[in-house]
Amino acid sequence: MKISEQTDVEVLQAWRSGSSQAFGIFYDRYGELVYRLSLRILGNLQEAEDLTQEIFILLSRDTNYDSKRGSIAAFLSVLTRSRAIDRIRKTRSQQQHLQKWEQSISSDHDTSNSSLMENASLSERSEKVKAALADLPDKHRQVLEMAYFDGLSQTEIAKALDTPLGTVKSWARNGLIRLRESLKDSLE
Amino acid sequence: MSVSNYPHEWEELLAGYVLGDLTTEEVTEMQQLIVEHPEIIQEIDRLQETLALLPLSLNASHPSPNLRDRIAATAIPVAENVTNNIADSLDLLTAPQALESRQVPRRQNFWKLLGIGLGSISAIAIFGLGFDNYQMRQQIATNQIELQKYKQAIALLQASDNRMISLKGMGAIPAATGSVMIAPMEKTAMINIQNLMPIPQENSYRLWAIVDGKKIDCAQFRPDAQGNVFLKVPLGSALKQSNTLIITIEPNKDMPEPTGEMVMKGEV
Repeated sequence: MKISEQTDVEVLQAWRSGSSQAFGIFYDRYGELVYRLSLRILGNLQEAEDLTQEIFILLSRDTNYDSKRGSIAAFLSVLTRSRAIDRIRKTRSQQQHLQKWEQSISSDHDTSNSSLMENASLSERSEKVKAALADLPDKHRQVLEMAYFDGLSQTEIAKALDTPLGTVKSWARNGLIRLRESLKDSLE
Repeated sequence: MSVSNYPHEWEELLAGYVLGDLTTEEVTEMQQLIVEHPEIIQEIDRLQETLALLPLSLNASHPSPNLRDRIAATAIPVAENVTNNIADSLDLLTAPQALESRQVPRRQNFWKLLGIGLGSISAIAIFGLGFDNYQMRQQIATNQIELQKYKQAIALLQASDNRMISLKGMGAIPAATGSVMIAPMEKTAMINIQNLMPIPQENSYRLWAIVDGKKIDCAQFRPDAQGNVFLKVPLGSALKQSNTLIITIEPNKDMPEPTGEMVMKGEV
């Protein structure tokens, strides 16, 4: 079988064994996902590239990735987000962080087509996630994005939106539940 | 199994757990729920996976085209067997517990986590523990990478036919120091430099070996945030023969010969 037709796990293994071709395939499948998330959270091109590099180096050496626990895309998202938010906590005050949020959050959601990756199945999933998010009530989507991409606590979100904490929680929880329902087929 | 098989209040509780926003009372409820319905843990996994798919919704933004090459230069293991063996033995030497924990099924981990959480009084604590545990595992992974690098470096240093060329900063970066270790047995060269200044995104540092008056491109790299480079490259014949090395700053593309100012030099 051609290496480009192999599963993510097989490609990852080949890459870890020193195959630069396998690295290339893996990077083409997921490099942009890692980069986009890094850029969204960090808001800086250079830092986003640095973090992308850091994630790939980590992945090349040792990770706790276990395919039984979820998709590579999800694993990379969790790892990237955790590292990105960690960087933000170290380098920025919460105040600046909130300002960044105010400037960027509203412009970010868009369901226009974009070829996320060369890997068809992933770009398909991307479209599904976009569509599922677009389907959520605005407030539900907004609080989910604030919590996820900006690492804000529900209390901080409640303050920023001038909304009672209980309402914010309910929006986030129901947003997630609804999203899980819409994406049911992508999760199996 | 669908979430809708469970009462809505349960779903909200699970979602709250995944989002890390449970109150103290809800943590207690949640613990009770898991004791009575252990199969509900599957739903937690799915909600977690759902949340982790959010980045797929982000709009197109492309990294610079050379990022792929820069990552390739540092993230492709050089020698399969050596690397794996060292990694395995290091795992065993430094963190046997990490190796074991990797083999424990997720559910057990979850129970362990929850067990610790039982004693805690706040929802933040239970989420925090999960986060710390995650951070700790990542930290161990990072430390192992560092250790592995040093272990490999030491193995290289011990070979008898090695030679080392010291590099001194000049021009724009007089404070830079470093060396290139040439290890013919391993067919490897190791570049180790400190105090390099940051350079624009579209440039990189480039190492040239001078052979018979010709300058031959040997490696391309960018320093980390602290100005350090620690890079292992395959040993080409130019680098193997050469007694003089120079470093220049060049655009990120194929350069037949150096165009930038010389910033470091080394001679045997």
